[in-house]
Amino acid sequence: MQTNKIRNFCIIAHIDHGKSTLADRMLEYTNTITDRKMQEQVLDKMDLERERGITIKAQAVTINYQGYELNLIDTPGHVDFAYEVSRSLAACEGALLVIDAAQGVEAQTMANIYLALEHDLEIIPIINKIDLPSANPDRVKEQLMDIGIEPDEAILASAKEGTNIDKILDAVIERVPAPYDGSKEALRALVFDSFYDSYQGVIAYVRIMNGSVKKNDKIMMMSNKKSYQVDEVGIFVPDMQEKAELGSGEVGYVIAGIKDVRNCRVGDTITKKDNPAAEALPGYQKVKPMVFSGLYPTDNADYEVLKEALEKLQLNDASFTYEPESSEALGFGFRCGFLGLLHMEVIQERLEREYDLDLVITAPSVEYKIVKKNGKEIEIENPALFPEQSEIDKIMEPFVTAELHMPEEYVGQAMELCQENRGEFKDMQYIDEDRVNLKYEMPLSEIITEFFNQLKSRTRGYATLDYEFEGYKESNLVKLDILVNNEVVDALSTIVHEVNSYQHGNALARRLKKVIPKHMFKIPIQAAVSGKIIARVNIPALRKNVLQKCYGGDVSRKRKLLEKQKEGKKRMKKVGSVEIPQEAFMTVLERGEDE
Amino acid sequence: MKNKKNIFKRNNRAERKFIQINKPFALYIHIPFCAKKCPYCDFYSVKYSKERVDQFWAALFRELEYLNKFVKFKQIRSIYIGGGTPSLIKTDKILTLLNKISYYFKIPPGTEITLEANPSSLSREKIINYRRIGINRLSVGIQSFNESFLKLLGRQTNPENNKKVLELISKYFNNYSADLIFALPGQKIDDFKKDLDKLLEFNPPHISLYNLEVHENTVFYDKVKSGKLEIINEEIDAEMYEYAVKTLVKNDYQHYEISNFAKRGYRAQHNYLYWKYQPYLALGPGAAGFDGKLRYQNINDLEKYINTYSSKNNNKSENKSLNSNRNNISPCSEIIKLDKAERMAEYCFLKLRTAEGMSYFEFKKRFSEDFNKIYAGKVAVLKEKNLLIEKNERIYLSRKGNLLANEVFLQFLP
Ligand SMILES: Nc1nc2c(ncn2[C@@H]2O[C@H](COP(=O)(O)OP(=O)(O)OP(=O)(O)O)[C@@H](O)[C@H]2O)c(=O)[nH]1
Ligand code: SF4
Ligand SMILES: [Mg+2]
Repeated sequence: MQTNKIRNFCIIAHIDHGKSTLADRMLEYTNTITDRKMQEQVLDKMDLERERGITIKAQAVTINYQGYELNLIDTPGHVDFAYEVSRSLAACEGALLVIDAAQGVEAQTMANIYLALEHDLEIIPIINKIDLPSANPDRVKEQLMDIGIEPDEAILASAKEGTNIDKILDAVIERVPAPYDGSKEALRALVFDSFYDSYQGVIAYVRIMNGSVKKNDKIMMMSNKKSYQVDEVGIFVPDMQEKAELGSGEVGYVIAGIKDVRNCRVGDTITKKDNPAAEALPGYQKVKPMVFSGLYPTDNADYEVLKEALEKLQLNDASFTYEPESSEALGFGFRCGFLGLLHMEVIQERLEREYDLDLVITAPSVEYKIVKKNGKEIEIENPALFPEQSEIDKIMEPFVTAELHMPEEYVGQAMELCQENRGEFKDMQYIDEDRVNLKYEMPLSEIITEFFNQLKSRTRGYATLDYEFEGYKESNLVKLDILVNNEVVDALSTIVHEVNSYQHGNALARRLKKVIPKHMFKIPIQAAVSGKIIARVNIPALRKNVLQKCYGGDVSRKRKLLEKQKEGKKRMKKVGSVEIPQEAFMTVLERGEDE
Repeated sequence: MKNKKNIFKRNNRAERKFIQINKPFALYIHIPFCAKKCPYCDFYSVKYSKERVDQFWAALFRELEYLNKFVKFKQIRSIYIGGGTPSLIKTDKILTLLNKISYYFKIPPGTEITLEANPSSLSREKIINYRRIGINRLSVGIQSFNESFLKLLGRQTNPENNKKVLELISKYFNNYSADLIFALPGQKIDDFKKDLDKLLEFNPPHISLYNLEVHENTVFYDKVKSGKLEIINEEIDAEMYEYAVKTLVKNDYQHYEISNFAKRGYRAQHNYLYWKYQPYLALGPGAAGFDGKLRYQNINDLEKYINTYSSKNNNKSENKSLNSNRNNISPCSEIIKLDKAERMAEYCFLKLRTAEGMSYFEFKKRFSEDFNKIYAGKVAVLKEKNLLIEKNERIYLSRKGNLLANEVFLQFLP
């Protein structure tokens, strides 16, 4: 395909503004997908994506339309997966910026615009969902004007009803620049994503920047000079379809029997062994996990299974990290790093589902930097490993700049919530008459607790949030320990601000009382800071647990009931003589309204 | 990781196995009719109608005929006619049933034959007739003598009637049992004491005591879920139970099973066979039978039950039809073949319910396994926790163990 007949673009937007649905319509309109195969958000292939109705992994697809080859990449809108967006952008020359006509510009809309501008992409604004009664395209246009995007260029559309899909396709052809024609040059293919298949090995999603690649070519990864022979190249339609060759400017996949994902890193450049390019493409910054939690098999015997599962999952998602760790309470497990809470949930769910594991997950934590009195500086992601208070000179924690968008009427509530979570006010701007953009500097640790849920509930779902890592700052933090039956349970330790420690300790002890079942003895639950008890509640002893009626017709039922109770116990972690259910380890992060 | 599957649903034909009864057995008959459903009850029953009863009776006879084929040793050890509300059924119908049973099986003289009765459907005449047709034990669901708790439980009776009925029964039956329910929502310890004291005035030879358990698929369950009904606190439940045990023992009752109390010589023989893990044949929808290794559960559906045993499914040439035509109709909702570990577990938790507890010797006799080889560790822990007592090569529940029996039973599961 000649490069002037190719257009590469992605669809970007705030979460739920309709990217995947718009992609559906474009696939339908261009007959890329047959009616029979069509389903809603067809590019959301993973079960989890379909169940939750969100996109987690970016997805590429090639569309043939009026003699053009249009390569579309649908991206996720959630802030945790922002890195997927920036990767995809590097493979494109243009972007459809989708904005919900009723919601208007939101936190990730802004974040995505900045990313697109950074990559020098042509932005085509799409005002979507104009079918909604509450749609207000004029207001969205005003907002666009305010943020420096030409409102007249916006296309009004309804992905639901298929309105103006043709106009969007035409705009892609007219406005998105054709890719650079590097067909005469040495091969340089950007690996913008990858996928591991147990039969074929790594399937690299590539954008060919220069040269071309075909079956049987000897290719070489530019980062480590490892070479392979190409088994297959092709495009996504959206399933994989083999092609004779991928030429300059095209998007598709390369399979070359690469068995170890580490040898085909996302961001790497593929070239040819015999005719290597002089210089690799810029590639990506490695994403750094921001949120950490401990993952432990409920049954210690499953440790190896968990380890293998993590290894395999990482093949497809290099953005999460894991390292072995151990806990007195939980035994052997892993400290895992995630991009955010949703990412964490997704990984956990995949582990439990795809690998049939029962996990105990400790409350998420951030990475702290601690300067000890002896001048040594250490980094800690596991609260249990905090040094003694007396050894600590100062503690620093990650701060983010949080941007919150909401209608004016909710500003008060949002500000209050930020303040409660140690936020420091930075800026407030009107996007239009009644929409406000608030900027706060906040500790990341506050954002990864219940902040988002509370923001949603206090603003009746209207506020949206985006945040970006700012840097480390000193904070007055203490380690809050929990003693169950007079023993410190290391996996329940958290780091809290000194001012809030009493409140947190008290609330946490009460929550634990609710989730830890009664035992045959009384169980005191205490919260302590630096060895000093600051709160205490008791779980009274279990007095009666007996099935009083048990005759011939009941035996099976009773046995099943007992089996269920036993199964329930198996899913708990025994700490000393107390059985603690999985959810107890997560309650640490909840913040009830009562706090 | 997952439990081994040994439950096979009964829909694939030929290779299925069924019970084999090779020794004298207990017989249970489930009469699935009630005048009105009580809001706490999860037994299978439907509203009484004469027509349904007639159809049911015919089906019952055919089930008996069918099951008879699996019984090698045709002698009965006890009969229990339960439900449901068997006392709704006309006495002569009951008689035809007993006759039918004696046609197939030997019923030695003195065999315990119990009928479950509801105070609302008992009269002097009925009670006398029961005796006449050979019922020698009645089990009557008194539940309470308190007007408002009887209402709460949806019982079609009142305190006066309950007393009257007890008086009548005690006049014509020297062997009978009365049930009380305790730990009712809103019940005070004093309320229960009054109930128990009232019952003791009649000096019944046998008493069963149950705390209110709220089961799924009952009106109470929904009410509890929606917050309209509050389950009583465990402390009070325990206190009532302990009070009852103390009081009854003082009044010469033997506390011979977790929930059952009897004067000397009046233990429920039928129920005892359950706790001894002896075989029992069971008839009627929702009933479960057991041959020592395999348990079957009839479906909870009178309609299907009647259809299964209707005449067109069961004429002479088609004796097999019950086996082979089960693609669409099946009298059993499940047949569970118990493996040895499961049988040992059930054996232990049933035997431990009784005052005699579990004897190592009997265990060995039954399973050819050394009890201590398998459970010594568990027993030691339970003894340590004061839940089990070990004496004379036997274990049994301690006082505390009675209240926390589930914690003990759990340990014997495979
Ligand atoms: N009324 C209306 N609803 C739409 C339209 N487009 C999308 N939706 C609905 O909006 C919701 C979100 O749509 P998606 O296409 O999954 O949104 P997305 O931007 O891909 O979401 P993420 O991938 O999670 O960021 C779905 O319930 C769609 O049915 C539209 O034009 N009109
Ligand atoms: S408690 Fe007895 S009378 Fe009431 S519905 Fe249940 S079986 Fe029928
Ligand atoms: Mg999507």
